[in-house]
Amino acid sequence: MKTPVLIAIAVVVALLAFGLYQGLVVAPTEQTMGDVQRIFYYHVPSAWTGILLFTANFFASIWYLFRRTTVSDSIAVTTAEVGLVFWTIVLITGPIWARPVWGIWWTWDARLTSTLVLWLIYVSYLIVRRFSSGGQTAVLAAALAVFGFADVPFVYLSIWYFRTQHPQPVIGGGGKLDPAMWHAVLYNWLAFIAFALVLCWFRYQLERKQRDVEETLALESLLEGSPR
Amino acid sequence: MNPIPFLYAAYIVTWVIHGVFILTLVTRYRKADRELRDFQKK
Repeated sequence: MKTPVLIAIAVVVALLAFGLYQGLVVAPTEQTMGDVQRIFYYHVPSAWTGILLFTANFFASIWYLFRRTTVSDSIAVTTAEVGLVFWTIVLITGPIWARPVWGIWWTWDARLTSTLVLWLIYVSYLIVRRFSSGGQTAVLAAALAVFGFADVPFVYLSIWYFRTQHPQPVIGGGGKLDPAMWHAVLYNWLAFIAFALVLCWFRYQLERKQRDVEETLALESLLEGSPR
Repeated sequence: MNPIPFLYAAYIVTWVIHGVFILTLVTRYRKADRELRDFQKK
């Protein structure tokens, strides 16, 4: 592995460790919920990072639909896959927090349901990419990504326009967060963004390698089929 | 209800998911690399 990559990994590990320390030790204990509120320091930054990656996927898909470049398609699949990992964490840590606080694991309100729908959209996107055959797979996936992204603003706005069980948003919700809690959220978000970038870099390298294999396979079958 | 196990569960699950994802990335990369080398040997 090259030195800049190793340095990036070391920086990300340090940031994640610092974020963990902030969330579990430095941030004060919330008065009503107690220590279980600390799940918030992983749940919220994971959600924000997931949204960032889905936004990148949206723009890469538009770029692909207009330009049909390999780079844009590779960025689209990379951001969708890494985004889905963060979104899975959101969907699992949310119910783990909800059980002791609400007394239930799940409720079909607008926020939770739209979050699950968003997860399903990107699962469908990756299934289309994995199992669809033919030359139009990337175009179909890009179109699905562009329309699927419409659920992202709905996820955010759902707690504004619907009566939901979910708490109000951290940004623009009117609630006041202790500065130390804010720091823990922001440090963890910074760490998660850096971590997501490293994951995207590795996933992008994998995509390039897989495309090389596909091209070599195609070339080989062409050579085998050509008259000698 | 003791909430501490829920807190630990959330943090552990997060890192298990990331760990599994990294493992799949490494496995898929090695597989693609091996396939490419096999083609080049032919």
